[in-house]
Amino acid sequence: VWTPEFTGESNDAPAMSRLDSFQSALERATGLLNAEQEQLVASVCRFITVTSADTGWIAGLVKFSAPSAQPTPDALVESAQRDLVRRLLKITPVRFDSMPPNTDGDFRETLVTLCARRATAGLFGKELSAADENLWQTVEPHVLGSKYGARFLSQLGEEVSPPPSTLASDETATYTAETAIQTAETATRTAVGAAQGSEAEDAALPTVVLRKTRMASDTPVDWHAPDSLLHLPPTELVRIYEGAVVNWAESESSAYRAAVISYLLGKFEESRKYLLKCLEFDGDVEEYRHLLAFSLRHLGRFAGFEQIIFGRAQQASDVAELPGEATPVRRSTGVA
Amino acid sequence: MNYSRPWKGLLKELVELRLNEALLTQYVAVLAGVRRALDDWIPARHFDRFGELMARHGLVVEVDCVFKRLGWEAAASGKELAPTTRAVGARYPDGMDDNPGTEVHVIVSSRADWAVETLKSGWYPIFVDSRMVRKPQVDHKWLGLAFGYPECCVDFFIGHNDWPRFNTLADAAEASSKLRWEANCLLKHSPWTPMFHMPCSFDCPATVEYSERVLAAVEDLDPDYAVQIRTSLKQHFLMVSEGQSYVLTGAADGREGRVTYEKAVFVGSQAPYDRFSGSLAKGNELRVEDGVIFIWNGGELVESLETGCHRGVIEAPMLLRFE
Repeated sequence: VWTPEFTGESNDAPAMSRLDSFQSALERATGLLNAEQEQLVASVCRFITVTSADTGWIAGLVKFSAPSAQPTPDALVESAQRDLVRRLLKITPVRFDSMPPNTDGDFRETLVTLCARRATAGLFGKELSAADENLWQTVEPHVLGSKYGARFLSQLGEEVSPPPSTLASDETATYTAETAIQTAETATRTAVGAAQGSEAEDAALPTVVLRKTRMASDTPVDWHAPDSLLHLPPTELVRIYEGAVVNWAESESSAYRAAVISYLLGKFEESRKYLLKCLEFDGDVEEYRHLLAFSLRHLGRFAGFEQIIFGRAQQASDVAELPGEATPVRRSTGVA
Repeated sequence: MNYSRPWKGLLKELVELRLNEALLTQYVAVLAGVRRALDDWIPARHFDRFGELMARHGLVVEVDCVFKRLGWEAAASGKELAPTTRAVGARYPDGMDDNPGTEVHVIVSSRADWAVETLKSGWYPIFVDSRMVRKPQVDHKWLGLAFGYPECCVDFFIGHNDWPRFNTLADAAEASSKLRWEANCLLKHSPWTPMFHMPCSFDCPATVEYSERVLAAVEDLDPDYAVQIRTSLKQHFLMVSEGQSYVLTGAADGREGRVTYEKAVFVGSQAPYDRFSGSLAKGNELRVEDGVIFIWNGGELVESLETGCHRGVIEAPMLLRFE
């Protein structure tokens, strides 16, 4: 869709003439896209315009520079990819506190260009240029080492190794690619998904990996596990649960899996039991502490909830010794 | 405080204590047994009197915790996860003070057991010691059911409550075969609504029935108020996102899919979401096409507003005329 109003050229005859030629070129370029490429462009792009004006980024608006704009299939897809990357940057709170070496200017813009070119090359089955490939070798570990960087790359469809959710989240920690891999090797990876089923059965189930959030950080807890499993039918939840309870006392991942599914099934006394075991395995995991707090809340033990959330009960033993009886319900002042 | 109408009786007391005219019909709904419970934020300095008022009407109040409001632009990690709530939480009653920004998050119900059940899943995302504390998504479902919302709408909300990725209202409109005024939730932040939940469609039978029952209860209490609500809901709206909608007063269907209007009034959740009031004021005719809002004045195009993802909220503008 062309919007001459956008560039204020609606009464400009030469501009409108250029528009006709642009439209034809655009139609040719679109016709050369394969189904996957066309789907990408259609899903991202709402408008295409030709303008020299520096109007900043507008989601869904693909811009070609006037007056020499000649859209090619590659340029069209790359423009759509740029828009997609910018959208992801917008909604992912990724922080770049420093510039990686060998990159000049605006790092975010460099990242947008590079990610768009990589994705475009992938869609056209081409190799990235040597210069871009070299730049990527510098940029990727820098992104991975930034807060939410792994999540951003993962959302872009990049293969992030290790999966972002295996990284312990620490406000002060930064990871290079090497240390990230080291972390994955040494940290307890708490797979929550279908670890016990057959391969065929597992293929239909989400594999969820816990990203452990440490108490010293200020990042929100990762509810990826309960939120993902929420949409499974109860029969599937029960099947995973039955696999987990076999060895919950010996395995941290089984204990957490059992806790999450108990919670989703509304069995809060059980989720409490399994979470206390999780905290014995690793006492510095906010996901365990918070899910325990919400379990206590559902059991009517509001004082226990508050002790964890507001009092930040520090040790597993503190949590284990939380008041066992349901807290008397608090009425507002003035209610008899 | 300026009032939008002369309130009477319970409604007047609620407005004076809560310092807010929204949610009034939901108190009526709880009193009438149409919904099981509601949650609300009461200024801390009025909290004792609020408790007394509720007790006089036979309602039970459960306290969640104390909210201390943050400025809109306050920098905090994770605030993008809670687009509607910006507050630091404190334990009740430790966090109570007379600061105007200090409020108590409460559950109100006609039955003690319903109030406690609602409280269990009634946690709201707030910052505690710099960390955003959120509940798992399943708790949103339990909360919707505890409130007494239609189950179809609760399920729809659970599947869509992700502002950067979904526009719940646009999807509800897509799912509608008719835009029933009884299911119009766009005035939920004003006094002129019988409902507060997001319907699964704008002709959801359960929502229509809910609204009719609430309006009947409002009519018993204040017939003029009920008339005003009905009139307000039967208008043209420009919906952009959950936080950004406009009533088009004096509106009529025009040529080429355009709508003529006299004035566009922002009815969204909070002022920072209002991006288009200034532009809409320049014109008297508009059309929405492929995500762009075109505005004319006297037949001359004066603005074309692009939409996208703004403040972490997906915009999907639609012109909705409720009948």
